[in-house]
Formats: sequence, structure tokens, C-alpha cells
Amino acid sequence: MRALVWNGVNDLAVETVDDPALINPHDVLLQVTLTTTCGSDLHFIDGYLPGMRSGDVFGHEFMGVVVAAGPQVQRVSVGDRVVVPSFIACGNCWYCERQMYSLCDTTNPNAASQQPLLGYPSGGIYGYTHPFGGYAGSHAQYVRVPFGDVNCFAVPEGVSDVQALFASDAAPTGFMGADFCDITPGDTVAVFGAGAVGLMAARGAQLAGAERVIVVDRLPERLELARTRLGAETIDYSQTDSVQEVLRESTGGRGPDAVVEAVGMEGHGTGVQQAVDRVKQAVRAETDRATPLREAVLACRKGGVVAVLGVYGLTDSFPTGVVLNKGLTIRAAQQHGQRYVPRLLQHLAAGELDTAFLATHEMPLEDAVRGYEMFKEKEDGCLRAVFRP
Amino acid sequence: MDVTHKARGVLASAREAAGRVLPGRAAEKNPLDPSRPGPHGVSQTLTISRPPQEVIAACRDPRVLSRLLGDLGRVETGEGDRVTFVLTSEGEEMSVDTRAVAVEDGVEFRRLADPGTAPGGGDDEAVARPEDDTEGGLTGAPPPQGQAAPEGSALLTVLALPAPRDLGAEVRFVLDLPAGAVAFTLLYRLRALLQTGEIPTLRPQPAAREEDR
Repeated sequence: MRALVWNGVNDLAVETVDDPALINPHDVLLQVTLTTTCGSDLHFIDGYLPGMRSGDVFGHEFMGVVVAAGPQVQRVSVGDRVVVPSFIACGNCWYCERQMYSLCDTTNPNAASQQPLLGYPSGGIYGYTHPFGGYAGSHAQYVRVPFGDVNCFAVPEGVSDVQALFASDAAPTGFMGADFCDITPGDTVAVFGAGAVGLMAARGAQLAGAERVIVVDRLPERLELARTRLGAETIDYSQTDSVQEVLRESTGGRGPDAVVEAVGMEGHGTGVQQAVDRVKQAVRAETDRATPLREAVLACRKGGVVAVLGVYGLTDSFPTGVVLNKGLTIRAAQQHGQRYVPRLLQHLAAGELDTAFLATHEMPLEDAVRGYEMFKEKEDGCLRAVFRP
Repeated sequence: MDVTHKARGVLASAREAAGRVLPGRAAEKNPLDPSRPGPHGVSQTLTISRPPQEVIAACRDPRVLSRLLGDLGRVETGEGDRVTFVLTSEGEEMSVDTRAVAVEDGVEFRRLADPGTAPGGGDDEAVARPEDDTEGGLTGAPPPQGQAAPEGSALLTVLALPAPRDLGAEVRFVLDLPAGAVAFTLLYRLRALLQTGEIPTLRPQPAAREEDR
């Protein structure tokens, strides 16, 4: 089959690789209909996140049609049109039973390599470094899905492929961030980052009852999407001296009740700390450029919640004292997608949620290298490049 | 002088810190029951949501052990209760003949004499006494490189005790090999197998790499 592979830092290619096979009795094979870029892919493409090996098929946000199922798969059938969350859950372990699916205790074949750093390994994920499992990713014609009954969700009639695609990762991640904020009616929620995850966090906050949602970014076309597609307020941080000040002043001096950080380790920003981070990251003296994370902590009101959705490594200069003295609650996780996908599909079917606008560029898988270039450089207003294998 | 002293201090701290995070560097006390000494070797403990008896029964089954080893080797059965661990590393195979011996709260796979060497260590009764462990004798630390491990020493010890509340069993693997990651991998696979019926597996794996084809 054809697949997009990582051959080294900033070295991608579409190559012919072997087809996947059913290995375990709960496995499902999917013919991938749509698969999309994710900002977290850029971290290993740019060489900031270790653990890829030359030749790895990557990609973790996808939907498709079931073409084969193992003998112990009961709920999913050949021919089903399904969407699959990016983290692989077994549905049986202590964490899955408590709906913390990305922390699954049994699906990471390379858990031992994660244990020294994390202490307790995460679950496996498709196409996202070997410490995170080493599974082949979805930027391919076919992908193997372990525990098909737990991880495949049938897409209802009336929900298009491209709408369903983002129920794989961007939407559940964003909705999880909104969930973390413990929103009560009348709340104000700020979202740092107007990528697909940030926009979905904003929509999730609205559906959870937030009265005001304020999206912060520097890219005019993304802020435009936040305003026109979601009706959110926006702040272009590159056009203001202090985002904190703008947020404070626009909330009667209280600050937002919760802040969602949806940027991650390659964040942009302004000021001296950002310059220091850029240098340290470039010479590999630090894994993260964490300006948005620090800004989120500083911007949140006292006693509020900061929800961290961006992918980070080992952040320097984290303002722990600010967290302490403001009595903040920090909540973070890789997405527990299986908890959110059914609700998201209901929202999509009911017309309460739009995700299709996230797919700003659609192209054949053969053009995926170019797609990632556009996505990385944000050319032509690229929010997400979607590949059709 | 002071700088050198400080540098040594920093290095010592770094070394100690590295020792703490490397897999399997748990203290050689028995974490399941601190009043009893633990067997020597690298150890890892995980909680598995199955009764201790079921865990121990699985670990006595050579087919299960073979599945746990997977790409790391296999387990073969021989005459009587002989269990041979065939361990694979970089294309080389190393066989260790053992016998499964029931111990309190678990099972030990104790090395048998190499057929080509003179017997080295007493009868089964002698090696089965747990107090021998406290003296660091028969089940002592791994021998210096190049020396064979003594007959009767445990290659693998599996201990399982009831976990608090309804969590199942606290299961400890102690592996007399300098490879904590292996002990963790075996335990992780055991938990996956007992809780889900399968072991997370990658092969065959689509990739643009020869070794994955």
C-alpha cells in the first residue's frame, strides 16, 4: 500500500509499504477514507520529539471503512463507516473503566521505554513515536486498529466523512479541554491557540454554557474563523502589548474563569522569554517554547482552571509560584477520545457542531508531503490538510 | 579544589538520580512485605486485576511464559518439571535450565546445574529454604561477568499478593538479569494478557524499513 513515512527530521516521503494484517483477535483493519495533519506531528517532524525511526508510517487522526475484523470483534462489522480516536484503548483496564482512555494500561507495546521518564506509561497511539507504542499510523491506505469494538465508532447517516474525521482527535481533544474547565453558565473562557483543537475547545466551551469565549492567536485567518464560524471574541496577541491586560480589562478586572492552552511545545509569542526559549530549543537545551502555557497561567483569574491540551516535553521556567499563589487548578491529558466521540457524533448529526470548516485543504495522499509543508508554514491559510488515500 | 569537590558531588548526585529512574532499580527489600527480604535481581511490580492465584497459575504455564517473552525468547519444557528459558539477544541464544519451585506467595524458576559441569550446590531442600536469601548465598546478587550463576539461584521470581480494595493482585517480577526493562516488559505483557486476552503486538508492521517487511 501507499503511505506517508517519516525518514528523518523534515524528511517525509510517500512510499510503498506492506499492508497491515490482523494480528490479535480483537483487531480491525480499516481502509482509510480520510486522514489529517495534526500540529503535534510537527514536533517529531521538526526533531523536537524523539522516538521516531526512519521508515515509520505516521498520522493519528482518521476515519474509514472496516475491511476485516478479528474473530473476537463483535460490535463492528465489515463495511461499517467508522471514526477512530487517536489513542488506543483496551476497554478493560483500571483507566479505561474510568474513561481515562489515553492512559490505558495495556496497549503500549513499548511501555518499558516510557517508564523511566513518565514513571507510568501512557496507552499506545497510532503513528506517534516508538515510546508511544510504535504503531503504524493512518497516513496510509489501510491501518490496523487494535480492540476494534472499543475504538471504532460508527458514523451516523447524515454525517459526512470530513465532519466525522475531526471527531477522531481535534474535536474530542478540544471538548475535553472545555470539560476540564468545569464551566458554569455565565463563565468566560479564554482559548490560547486558534488551530483546530483550539477552535473545537472554543465550541465545546460554548456548548457547555460559557457566556463568553475569547480566542487568542496571531494568524488573522484563524481568528477570522473563530469569529465567523463560532461567534467567539478574538485577540491578536501580536497586535497588543499584553494579552493578560486585555483579558483583565475586558473581564472587569477579574480575568477569565478558565483558560485552555491549545498550542504546545512549538508555541509562538513575544518578549524576551520567547527569544530565550527559541535559542534554548534550537540548541536542544530545552524541549519546549512554552510562552502560551506561561501566558495561560498568568491570564487565568484566581482560583480558575488552566486546561493544557498542547503537547509538551520538559518545560523550563514554569511559573509554579503563580499557580500556587493564585490557587489555580491545572488539568491536562492526552485526549480520552472514546469518552467524547459518541457525544460529538450526536452534536454533528443534530447540526450543533460544525467541523468540516477545519479541512481547509484536501488532497490525495500522494501529495501529503506538500500538504505537510503547507500545514507547517500555514501557507494559504492552511488550518488542516486532509489526505484522501 | 572546591570546584572539583562540587563537581564530584554533582556527578555523584546525577549518578544516583540516574540509578533511581532506570527501570528495575527497586530496593532489594520485599515491597510486598518489608519484614521479609526480597530476592535479588532487578525487580518491577504492577497491579493486575486478577486474583493472585490466577496470576501465579499463569506464570507457571510455559505457554504463557513463551507468549510473554515473545521476541525476547521462548520457554521450553523438559523432563519432569524442567523449564528452559531460551533468551534471544541480537541473534544469539542463551539457554537457562530451571525448575519451578513454589515459594510463599509465588513461584521461583531456579537454575539447574549445567549438564556439562560438576554439580555446584546441594539438594533442592537446601535451595528452597527462603532464609538462604537473607544470607545472600544461593540466591545472591548476579555473579560477576564471565562467571556462571550458581545452581539453585533464581532466574525469575514471581510474587503475587492481594492488592488493596478490589484491585486484584500486586505482582512482582524479580529477574536475575541486568535488564530492568525486560522485567517490566514481561509484567506489562502479563497484565495485558490476563486482562484483555491479548498482548500488544506490532509484528508484522507496515513501515519503509527492511526489518519490518
